[in-house]
Amino acid sequence: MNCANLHKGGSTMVSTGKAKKPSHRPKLTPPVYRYLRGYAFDPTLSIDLDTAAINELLFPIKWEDLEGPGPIGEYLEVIDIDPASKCMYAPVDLNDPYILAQNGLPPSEGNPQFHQQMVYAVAMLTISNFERALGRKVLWASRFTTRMFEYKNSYVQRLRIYPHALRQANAYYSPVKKALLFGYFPAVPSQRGMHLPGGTVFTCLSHDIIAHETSHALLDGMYRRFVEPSNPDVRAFHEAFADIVALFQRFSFPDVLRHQIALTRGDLAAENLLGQLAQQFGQSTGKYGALRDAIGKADKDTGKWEPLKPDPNALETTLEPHERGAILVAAVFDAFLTIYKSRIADLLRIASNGTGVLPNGALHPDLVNRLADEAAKAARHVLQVSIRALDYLAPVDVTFGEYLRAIITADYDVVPDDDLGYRIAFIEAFRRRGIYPRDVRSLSVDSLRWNEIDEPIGLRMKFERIGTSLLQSFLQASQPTSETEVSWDAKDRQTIFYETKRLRRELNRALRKLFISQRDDDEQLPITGLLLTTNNQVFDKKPWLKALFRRVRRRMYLEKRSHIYCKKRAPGKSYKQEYCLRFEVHTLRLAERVTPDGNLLRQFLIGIVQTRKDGFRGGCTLIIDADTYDLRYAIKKSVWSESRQRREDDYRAYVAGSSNYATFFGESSNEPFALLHSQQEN
Amino acid sequence: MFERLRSRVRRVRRVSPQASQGYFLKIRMYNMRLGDCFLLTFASATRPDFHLLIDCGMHQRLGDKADRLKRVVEDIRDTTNGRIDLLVITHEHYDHISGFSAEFPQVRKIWDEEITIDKVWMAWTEGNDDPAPALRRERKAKTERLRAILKATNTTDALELLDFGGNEDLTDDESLAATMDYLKSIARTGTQFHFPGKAPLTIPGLDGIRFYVLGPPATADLLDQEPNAGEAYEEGTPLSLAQTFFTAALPETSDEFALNDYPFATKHRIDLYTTEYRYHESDEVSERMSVEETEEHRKARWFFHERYNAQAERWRQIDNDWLEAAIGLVLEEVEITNNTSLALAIEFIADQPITDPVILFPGDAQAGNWRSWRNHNWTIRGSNGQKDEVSAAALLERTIFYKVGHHGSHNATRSRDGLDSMGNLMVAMIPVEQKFALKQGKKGWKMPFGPLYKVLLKKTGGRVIRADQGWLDHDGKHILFSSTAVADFRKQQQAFTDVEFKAHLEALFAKDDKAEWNTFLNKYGIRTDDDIEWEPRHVLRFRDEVAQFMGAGAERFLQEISLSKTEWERFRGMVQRVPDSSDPLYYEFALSL
Repeated sequence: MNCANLHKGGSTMVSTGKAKKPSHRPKLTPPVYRYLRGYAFDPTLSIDLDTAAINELLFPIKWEDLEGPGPIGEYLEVIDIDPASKCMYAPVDLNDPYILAQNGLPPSEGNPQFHQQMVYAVAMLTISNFERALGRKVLWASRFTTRMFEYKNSYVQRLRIYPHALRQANAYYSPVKKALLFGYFPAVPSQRGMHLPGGTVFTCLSHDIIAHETSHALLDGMYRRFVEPSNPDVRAFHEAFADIVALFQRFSFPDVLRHQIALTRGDLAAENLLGQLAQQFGQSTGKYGALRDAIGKADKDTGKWEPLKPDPNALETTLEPHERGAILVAAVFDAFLTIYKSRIADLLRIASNGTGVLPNGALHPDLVNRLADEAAKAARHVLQVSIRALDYLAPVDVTFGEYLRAIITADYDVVPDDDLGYRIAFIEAFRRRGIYPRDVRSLSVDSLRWNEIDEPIGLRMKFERIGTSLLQSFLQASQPTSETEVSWDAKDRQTIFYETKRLRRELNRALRKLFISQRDDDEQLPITGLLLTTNNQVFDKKPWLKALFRRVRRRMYLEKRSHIYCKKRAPGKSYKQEYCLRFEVHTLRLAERVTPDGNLLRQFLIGIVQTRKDGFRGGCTLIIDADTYDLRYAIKKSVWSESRQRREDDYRAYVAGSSNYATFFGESSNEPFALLHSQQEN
Repeated sequence: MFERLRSRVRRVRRVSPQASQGYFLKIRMYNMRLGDCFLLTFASATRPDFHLLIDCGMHQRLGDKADRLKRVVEDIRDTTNGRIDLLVITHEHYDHISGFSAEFPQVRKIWDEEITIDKVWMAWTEGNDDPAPALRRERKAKTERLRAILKATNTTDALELLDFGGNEDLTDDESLAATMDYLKSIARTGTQFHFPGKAPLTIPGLDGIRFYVLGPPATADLLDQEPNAGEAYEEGTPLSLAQTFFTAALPETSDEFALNDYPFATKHRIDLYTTEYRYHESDEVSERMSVEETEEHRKARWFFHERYNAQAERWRQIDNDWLEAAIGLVLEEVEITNNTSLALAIEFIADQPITDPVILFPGDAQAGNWRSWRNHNWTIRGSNGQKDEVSAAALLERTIFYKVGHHGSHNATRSRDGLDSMGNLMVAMIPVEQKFALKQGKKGWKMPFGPLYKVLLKKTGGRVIRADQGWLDHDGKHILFSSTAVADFRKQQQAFTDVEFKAHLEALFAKDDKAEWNTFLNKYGIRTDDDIEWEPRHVLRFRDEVAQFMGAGAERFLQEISLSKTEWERFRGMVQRVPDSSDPLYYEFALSL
């Protein structure tokens, strides 16, 4: 909507003082990238001779016409206010010719403007990685407000970033403020670290911390119910996922990759910087080694680094979200290593003349380049499949096992034949860490993939019916129909948000209509796990429908239904709509993916959430083929699962007092991530 | 009545010649609602009763303090005949020492005039050797500043937490520090400050009992931090974060106000506040601010005005978010003080050293304190001269009684190297009133912590005694949740007390047979000696007593505990609730060792 302004802003920045003079220069298209300098890891590595050379690099940031200094762009606004020091720092203007000419400010710990540039660059990089994997524009979580007893759900265009918000060893994403808050703190003196004792550590200068927090925000934008700790995996998943993104994002830095591969002689499983997260943060809070180490950690007694051995029982005993999340990170990293090894097996054979034993000394630079290419490619694939798998999760109560199923399904849908063994690598790595889904018979690709709906009795018809009306319009809206009209992808995000919101509302109505005559307990509950039909007053008005229900079954059904909120009677509406059981169309997305074969895969993703009166939630993600309107998968979390409810109750009882904080203040709902990062539990 | 029965039991024990080092131990938990007060009485045949008092206090936020404390201290006076042989003060928290405070003059009067205390033990952190005084000063300063910040930001639920250390309404005389000073001077033979890991303590005359000091640990461990090999903490470093935090939060403490506390050089600063504010700053700062604002600064100000202060953007402001760290510091403060707890393991030496039972009083020790125990090893010279190595793990393994730390909250009972190791645990006591705890804070304090309580019930077979509920009732009304272990235990116990015990007694009364009596007494842990002639008058009196208590529905307050674990079968215990009401004065667990 403000495109015009943006362009104006963009052109003024290039033309300097003499604006009136007619320009004779050819019309230029904007560049693809804006290059910005930054730390590949964090400042500590710049003072170490081994790593100084690779620590500073150029981030290729997708070009956007910034709205102003800050930087303030389409996705982000950096506001550098430091209430603890009672001051603010002038915003950096990345369009300043001097800054443009030198690819951004040079890395410096003492210059707040560089800090702003760094958070902007890394957060933007994370966003574009997400967009590439998901095949659509990302939206931040919307803002819910109540005004005069009315809920309002409004669009949040930009994630706000405060690079110097806190004075503590902490950084977090605030779901309430839709903001990232970074802290700074004096380093704990230690002999081992490379820190100036008492010097200041800035969390906003660490690539990993920025990428981690941005991923939290992105994930929250997709599934806002993943903040609710309904089982031990949910928060751990949030942490793990953010770590996975940070970790594999590093592998997109070719220089670093080459350096590390040369250093470890191709064996990425050896200790290397790429596998460690948040180097500086971890070192200065007095814990040797990185904050969260995906593949190994320092031995407590000797301080020597040791690879982490997969422990199939660890999952049962580890409940602290970061530690539990580390298990998932390790599993994904392990899968990556397997994939990488199988990709480079031939290269190593060539390089070692078939012996498999590399000659002593440094590797040939060409070999290093080729290995780095393969590693980058493998990492890109793993990152993409990890992000894409998000679309295949139920909107509530995620578990690690389901994530594995989502990964397998996501990969299967895009690459039906798995000639490189990616899926096996994932299953193997997860199995070694005891991560299993609850409800599969065996750990084969076939049984791990979400069950395809074979015989959607009636349902297919139903979806066709919606399809012809609503989804069609959704599809049309998202497709360029003529050359003048911009495609869905090129539309600005605000339009996407409000359009989707409107369509979600319509879809809610359509689904209700669709299911109104459905014999609910017969068909929907097994498929969707939810109760979507009307309540009994419909039967009172339609005796012929009542006759369909046998007495017992109906009573059971009514009993269940009494746990769900009903829509209130609204005057002037037909009874069909009045008495529906409430549910929420949580998400509606169109995923478009180009498979390696060149086919276009288009799917509607409809997430539905239903909440019981006692607060227990069920949910379902329906994945519908956009071309045939076939319901392919229904990924459900039944709203009636007693065992799941029991597990949830137990876990909530545990969480309620499991830390010093929780003992006295209860579990925090306001800033869930703030606690996770600063209050380490025992 | 019960007391008479008890004295009978003790009398029988005393004349027994074999049990030279045998003790009849009574552990009395006074019902302080939320607060600790434990009176241990070691009765033996060879010397007068030895009275050990561990802490005496109620939580500050409780209402009926003066009255209850008076009743408790009077009962202590009566029970001990005005003489306490040893007083152990675990740590400086209101709910542990307020019973001695000048805040309650009537109670103080009883301490001063009617009770003599022989000896006082405290942790090294209360002593006068370095670095204890510095640590105490630092903690005090920290608390005061925190209080100021929390009051300024109106964070009431965090302020409530600071009340563990006494609130600000206390006068100087009533403060915890003053109470500690009083306690240090109260003992007849002086106060001892104990370090962990030193040779086990013994008390002349109290043969066969060793006191192991497990905590508090060295400075770095006071906070829950895991020190790493090759890493040296400078003194007081854990507080350095707090220091910078305070410097920013309380600008009036200008003596510590230095430019180094700001993350960036002055030229980068654009001050947030109006001129009015500047006059309050130190000279240095006002000079810095008088630098004329440049064009860039004005532009930046406008930027922040538009983007940050605008009405529509208010919901995203973060002006006070950084102060949330104060809550973390309050928790830290509570944790540090809890970790200064003098943690004691009391060992009763039996014939075979492997089965020496231990009773454990860890104060309110939290993770850092517990974790440090594993560093300690003691070398013990046995009676026949051989040396034995005793580790903290071994002591935990032999623990039969455990005073649950910090009113049953999660962090004061460590599971690994803690409760998990207590394979022989029989009885646990929790000085907690859940109803009161749940009323604290916005969401209630989780005391006792549900899952921990469950584990305790399982480990002890249901023998968990809580200040608000005592022993589980037969009707099960007080059972919070039913696990199979508890249900089994109840069934077992019901059968035992109701049917078997009654039937046995009735049979005895009918027969009046000496052999029968002996089997009965042996079975229920009342040891007799063959030398004693059981005369009919003994039997009659005993029968009267028992009949009386059976008739009065006494099974509700006297419950024989059957300890079925094979190694420990020789121990017998009883639990008593006095008086038998919903708000008793104390619970007593009696154990013959």
